[in-house]
Amino acid sequence: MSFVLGVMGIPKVEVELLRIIVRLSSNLRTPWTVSESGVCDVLLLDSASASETWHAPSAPLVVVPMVQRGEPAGAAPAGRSLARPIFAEELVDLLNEITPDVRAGKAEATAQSARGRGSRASLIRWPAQVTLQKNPVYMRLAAALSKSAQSAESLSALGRVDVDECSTFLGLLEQEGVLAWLGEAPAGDALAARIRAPVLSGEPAGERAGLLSRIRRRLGLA
Amino acid sequence: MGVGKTTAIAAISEAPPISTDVANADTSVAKATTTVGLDFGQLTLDNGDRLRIYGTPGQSRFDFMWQILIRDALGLAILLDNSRPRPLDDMHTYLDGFADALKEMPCVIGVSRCDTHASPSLDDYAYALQARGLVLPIVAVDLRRRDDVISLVETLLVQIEAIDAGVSP
Repeated sequence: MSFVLGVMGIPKVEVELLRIIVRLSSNLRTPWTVSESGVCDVLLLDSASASETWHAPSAPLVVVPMVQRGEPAGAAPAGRSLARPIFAEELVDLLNEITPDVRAGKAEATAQSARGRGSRASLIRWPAQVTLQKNPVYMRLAAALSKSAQSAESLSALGRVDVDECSTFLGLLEQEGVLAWLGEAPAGDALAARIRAPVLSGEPAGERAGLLSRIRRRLGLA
Repeated sequence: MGVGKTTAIAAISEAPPISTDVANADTSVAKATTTVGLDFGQLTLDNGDRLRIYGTPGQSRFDFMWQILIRDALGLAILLDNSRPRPLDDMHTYLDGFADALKEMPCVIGVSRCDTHASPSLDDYAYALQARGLVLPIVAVDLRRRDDVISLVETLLVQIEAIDAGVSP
């Protein structure tokens, strides 16, 4: 398993230095990569940056501020910070120290959200805009979940999206309380009836798939 | 009336849509014409099939046309104008009018003018739908923009694909 160190508000030259350190260090106990966008496990940010806009996974996001050497870490949790100028040994020690927390956080989020990638769920309410805006693909995934019960795997195939992103999305929806998992709705409940996929009238699914593909091509969505 | 149905169809139709407009007699709405029959647009697919797009008049006195046009439709887009006095009531009117169809048919709700009129919010619409036992995609749109109209269509397509791929009764 490898982890991602996200960076925000960090000068380009420091980002490149971070990349070089994580790539060349032989003392890292777990492989790390550096990312300037997308999901991450740990976010390194300049103390002036706002972290709210970062698209974070459902796993707890560890935020580490950068400070000038000799200054206090301030409000950083557990006193974690990374001093400037960056020393390779300090970065490696920091990442090694954080790794167990990140691993535990991911395991907890996975257990909470995945319920097995084959577990199917459906929406009981259209998600909040703040959730949908975290990732451009979430609208498509939510539309699929609005009509029938889907698993992370089936969502991945439907939405043409990585299955991990689908699992993350299902985790966010579960945290928001807008999901109903198959088998949990009480018998006779209207929700249970709705979770059972409706049957569309008209041509068989195979023919319809061809029609939908042609519509997508015509509209430039293929 | 005035939400932008004709504009939306024009945004994606391969030919200028056929409209059945008359002069607008409702002085409370600032537009010169209004649809009293329907709008009709078309897209020809690569095998020669034609996708027909219908826009129905929004006034409830034309709800008899809604039932005719919805028959055998692939999906339904309900367009709402967030600048109207009571857009949630408008939504309920259409949900009532299409209640039978909505039991199975893919549907998306497109809300225009959210940039100038923030209330009700899209989340407010979601809660209102939940109170009716419905979960429908709700999308903020500018119906003058082709990409926004296409996103409404894509949302319908995804729902159809999900129904075909999802858990069967």
